[in-house]
Order: sequence, then structure tokens, then C-alpha cells
Amino acid sequence: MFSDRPAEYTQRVDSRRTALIKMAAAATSAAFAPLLAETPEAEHHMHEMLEQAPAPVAIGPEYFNQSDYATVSKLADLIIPRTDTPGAIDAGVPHWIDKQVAADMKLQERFKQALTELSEQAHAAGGTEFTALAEPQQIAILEAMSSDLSKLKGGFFETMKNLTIDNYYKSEAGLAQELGFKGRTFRASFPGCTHPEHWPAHDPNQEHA
Amino acid sequence: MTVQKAEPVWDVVVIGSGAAGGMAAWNLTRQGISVLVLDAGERFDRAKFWTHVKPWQAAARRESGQHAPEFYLSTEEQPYLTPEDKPFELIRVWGRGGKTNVWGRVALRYSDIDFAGPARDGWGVPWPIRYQDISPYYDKVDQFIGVCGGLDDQDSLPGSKYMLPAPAPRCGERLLQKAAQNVGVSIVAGRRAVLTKPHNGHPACHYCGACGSGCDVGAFFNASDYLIDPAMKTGKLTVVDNAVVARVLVDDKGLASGVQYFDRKTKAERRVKARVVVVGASCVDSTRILLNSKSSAYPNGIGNSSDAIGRYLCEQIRFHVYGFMPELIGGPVYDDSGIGGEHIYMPRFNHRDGRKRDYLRGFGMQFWGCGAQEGASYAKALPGFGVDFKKAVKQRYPALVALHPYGETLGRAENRITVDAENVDVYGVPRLKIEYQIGDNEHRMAEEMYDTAEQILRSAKAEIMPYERGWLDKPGSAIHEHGTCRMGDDAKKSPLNAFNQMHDVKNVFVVDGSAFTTASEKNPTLTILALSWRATDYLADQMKRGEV
Repeated sequence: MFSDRPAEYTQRVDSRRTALIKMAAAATSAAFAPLLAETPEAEHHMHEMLEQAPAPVAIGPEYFNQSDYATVSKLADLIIPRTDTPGAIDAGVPHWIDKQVAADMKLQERFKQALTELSEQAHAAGGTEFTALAEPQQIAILEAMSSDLSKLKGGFFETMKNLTIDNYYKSEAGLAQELGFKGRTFRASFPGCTHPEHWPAHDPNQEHA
Repeated sequence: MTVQKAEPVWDVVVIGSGAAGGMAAWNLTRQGISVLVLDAGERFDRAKFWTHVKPWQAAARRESGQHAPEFYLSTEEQPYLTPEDKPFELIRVWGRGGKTNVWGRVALRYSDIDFAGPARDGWGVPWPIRYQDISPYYDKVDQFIGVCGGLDDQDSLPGSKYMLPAPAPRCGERLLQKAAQNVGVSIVAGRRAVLTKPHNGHPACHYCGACGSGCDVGAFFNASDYLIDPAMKTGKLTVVDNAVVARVLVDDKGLASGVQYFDRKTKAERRVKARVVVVGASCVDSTRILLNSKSSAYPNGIGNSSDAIGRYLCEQIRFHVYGFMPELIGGPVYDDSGIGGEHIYMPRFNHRDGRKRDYLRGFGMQFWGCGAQEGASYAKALPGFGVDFKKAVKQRYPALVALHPYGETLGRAENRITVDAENVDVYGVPRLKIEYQIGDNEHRMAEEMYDTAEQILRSAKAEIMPYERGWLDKPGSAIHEHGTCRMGDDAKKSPLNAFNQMHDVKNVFVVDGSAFTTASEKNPTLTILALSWRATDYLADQMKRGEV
């Protein structure tokens, strides 16, 4: 969004990585195979097919061990919890973060160190693991991380929050259900702003499509 | 390595198939001239674009091993060199239609203020043409490709009678227009090469907003569908795919005799013969080709007696400021896709204020990314986490506005492209080296650019997102390279004359952004199309007279 570069530009690198990931997805890829539809009906049909495509087979995390994956999941959940709309876990955020960390050595280092520190803090707070703490204690630890401005910029909390944001707000749960994104579809017309109170007193161009 | 000499002698070989090369090929073939286009890639298949694939569907597709069409040339395949302290982001599309497959579609005419700039302030060399010379070609281009826009011309933004209807502005854009008007700044309808109604056999835009993935129906100008396809129908055009041009070849009279290229798949060397060579491979690649075209007649590159080729590289400065409009926070969410990118534009105004400025030239402003977007990166700038954070993100989703000022940069001899004989590419051809730095004039202009953006957002009482005043985007990121083979009447200072013809080599024409004498603050594609059309009209006429 902070660039007019199409998404494919930044995603290109990711696509190479994910291409290497072995997925039990032979069944799903057939459902994704129908390519671009050029009529609204076909688009609708394609959308339905995608909707009906089986969810990725749960084969467990690729990079994290179960305990670390549980911690990462809890962190994502604390950052974007489920409310009357889906939260980060509903949106599959931990799954995508696992894939991204698996493909990035720098992220691996960062998570390794941060998860160790979190574990130590959990012990200091009287728990066995971060995930075993009561939620108020977990929130207190996150608040300490996010309020220390000297550590915030470039720190682990920022990394974790940004990864959660990126993955949640591009998911169907985050983008369509939570935010209400309705784009990449076919429309016969574009109404634009229909609120005269938003308009300038003088419109330099009186003619609109 | 085998050398194969092709039999035919083409009337014209055109290097590149984008806005510049595509226009040359179309305009020459329709006048009965036989043309060979050398394209560094292949046609991008519209049926395989991911235009209507939602972000979450794209993620699932990628996970299952599929990938979207790769428009952008990988720097792994074609690395280029930059000094460590002078980064330059070079973005290239090799393939039929080039960057027009995914371009920003902003279609602005240069004004006479732009063409008169260097003659007026004395920086650089004067343009050899003025607005009146090119305006008939702007008219033709507008009618041919279809440009939507408003009836709201200004001295810095001339228009035409041929605009397609402008799309209605979104709420945030309306509020920006209103806020700007309250501080005396005019924001007009955007001018974009997007079809708001069917035009010349091309269908109208269907407002999916996914132009950056390539248009699945060709509802915005791209050189492949709009120029190369009709040129093909004349029977006068041949296109060679995957032809990576290395050099323009010369005969013993110092005239161009053809082109040497390498097959991108097999790496085999090929040569073709031609009476005329038209170079339109985009600014940076055209410059690479010209500088690598060394011979005893032209020891520092073909047509380069001025030593200007490669110098005076200009790329616009720009930055991005974001805010949230109070009227829209927490309000309803609409589908703000529209024609993709902004529906409004702020024309240059700094020449009117009567104040003495401490910099030369000017700036305009673009506004892509207003309203509901395909993501919420702004969330990273919002504090905290949890339920309140999630709510803060949602409330701001419909309210986002984005301001992107673009400023002209001055041409400087030391901002240059060279080729490095010590560093060769996969074909054994010297690689590109780009040395580029933003200068003091631009930093001074950026102050007023920031002032203007702040003034508009404050007038709107917007919640302004944190930004670092003075920050400028990485050089190259505007993807508007110009000036490295500039036009001018003085052959000692400019490689090209007023018709994009080399002063030194009369059968070589250079028709892309490299030919621009100055950069302006405006997006260059419409002017590239007009210049290429004008240059090839001249060329066709000269060929008929037997002058070339």
C-alpha cells in the first residue's frame, strides 16, 4: 500500500520460496486451476470454486516446534484477538508466519532469541511457559515490550506485530470480513463519493463518468 | 558461439516494444514501411493474469506452487552496478509492451512551462521543441489510446477536447479537493489512460482496481494490445521474442547497418541488417545499448561525439504522506477500487505565487491509495495491540488518504549511466552502471513539497500519520528515467535533434524517455508516445524522400 508497485512485485520473492514448500496440495491446486474468467458469471463461479476448495491440509508447523508455535500463535492472538469478527488465529496467521520464518534466516535468529527471552520472563513471572501464564500476565509482558520505546523500533514486538498485520489483513477473515474489502471484482459503474458535504465548493471538473 | 547473418535488410529495426518502440512500429508499418521489432521478452498472456485473484486466494495459490506472471526483470538475470553509497532502484519489464503492461496510467501532457524551463532558467540545454510542436501529437495520442480526464486545464496542465469522462472521485479524494481549495491549492480530475467507456475496439474498465496485476481485458493502454497487435495486422511487422539487444552495428561510412542481439533462451548471437535503427528500449537499456555500440568511428558509443549519452540522468523525487479524514473514520466502507490509483491530480502551481523561490522547476502531486485498500499497512504505525488496536485499524480503513508529491530533478553531468567493460553480463556484454544522487535543488524543492502536503492535510483536520520530514523515496522508485540521450539543437551538447534523430548518425533515432531534454514533474509516458509518433512521422517522410 505504501507504494504503487503492484503486489506481485513484492510477492515475487515469496512466490519463489513457497514454490519450494512441499504441500499436500495436489488436490487443492486442481481447484485453483481455472484461470481468469472474463464475465461476472464466470467470476462468480470461479469464486465459488475457490470458496469450496479444501483448506490447506494441516501438516503442522514447518519451522517451529510445537511449543514455540503455540507461543507464536498466542502472541498473534494477543495482537489481533477474536472479537465479534475473526482474530489472527482464525485467519491462519501463525501458519503464514511459520512459512515466512522458515524461509528467512534473519527472522529465525530473531525468533530464536525472542522466544528464549519470553520463556525466561514467563519463568520469572512464575509460570512454566509463556503460554501457561494467565492472559493478564501475558498482556503485561507484551505491554512492557511495546511501551519501551527504545526497544520498540526494530525490536521483536514490532517484527511480530508487523508480521501479524501483514498476514491478517491480507486474509479473507481480516481483509474481507473484518475490514470489508470488496475490490478485485466486476462492476458496471463506479459511483464515487455521493456525499455533497464532502465536495469542494467549486468542482473544477463538472463532468464525471 | 555461432554467428548467423540474417538475409533480409529491414527498412527499420525497432529495439523495444513498449510505449516508445511500440508506437514507432505501429506508426511506421501503417505507412507501409517494413519493420522488425526486437523484444527482450515474450508476450504476457492476459488469460494468465491474476487480476481477479483476491489476496488470500493469491496466498493459497502460491502455497500450492503457482505463481503470478513475472512482469519484472529479475536482477539475478540482469544485475546492474551502483556505487555502494548511491543506491538506484532500476525496475524493468522485458516482454511485449514492456512496462505499459503494469504502468501507473497517469497520462499528463507536458506544458509549455515544462518545454520552456531550461531556456528560461538557464539550467541544462533548451528543448528544441515547444508545446505547439507536440500538441497535435498529444491530440492524436489521446484519441488513439483513450485518456480519461476533466475539462479543467491549467497553464501547467494543458488538455484536449478528446478526454473520456473522468471517473467520480472517492470520498477521501473529494475531501482532499475541498481541503486544498480552502488553502488556495487546486486539485483537478486525474488524467489517466484508462477507458471509462469502450474505445477503438477496446472494452471499458470494469472497476476492479487490480491494474497492477495486468488488466485481464486490456481496458487501459498497453503497447502490446494497442500498438503491436494492429501493427501486426498490416503484414509489415515481424517481432522477434527474447532478443536482448547488445549493440547497434555501423558500416564503414559511419551509418548504422543493423543490430546485434542475443537470444535470451539459447544465448546465441544474432545480427540483423536494417536501413534505419529506432531505439526505444526504455531510457536505461537504450543508453546501455548506445554506449556499448563502440566502433572506430564512435569510440565512446554510437552518436556520442557530445559525450552527453549516459549523462544528465533524471528521475523524479517523490515521497509519501498519509492521513485519515475525520469525516470518514468509523464510517461505511465502500468499494474504492475505481479505475485503480487516483482519480484526482494536483497540477504544478509554484510558478504562480509571485514569491522568489530558492530552487528551480516545480512539483505536482498524485494521490493513489485513498480509501479502502487491499491491506492495512497503516496499522503498523498505530500504537498498541489487542481489541482497541483492532478497532482503531478498522475505523481508519475507509478514511485513509495518500499524498505523493513528485518533483522535477535537474540534469547533472555526474548523474550518469556508463557500461563497465570489466563486468560483463551472461552474453559477455558490458553491464550497466548507474551513478545517481539527488541534488541540493531537489532537497530545497522537497521543503515546499512537504509544506504543501502538510497544508492540505491540516486544512482537512486530518489525523496525520507519522513521517520523517525531508525523507525522499529511493532514486529510481518513480520509474521515470529520462535525459541520457537528450534532444537539442546544439550537436555539441545533445546527441539528438528536434526529431529524435542522432546529430552524428542520421539513420538512428532514439524515441524513449532518454530523449527528454528535461524531466518535468509529470509522468512521461504520454509524452513518449507523442514524441515517438512525431519522430517516426518525420522518419517516414525522410525515407520517402530518400534522405534516410
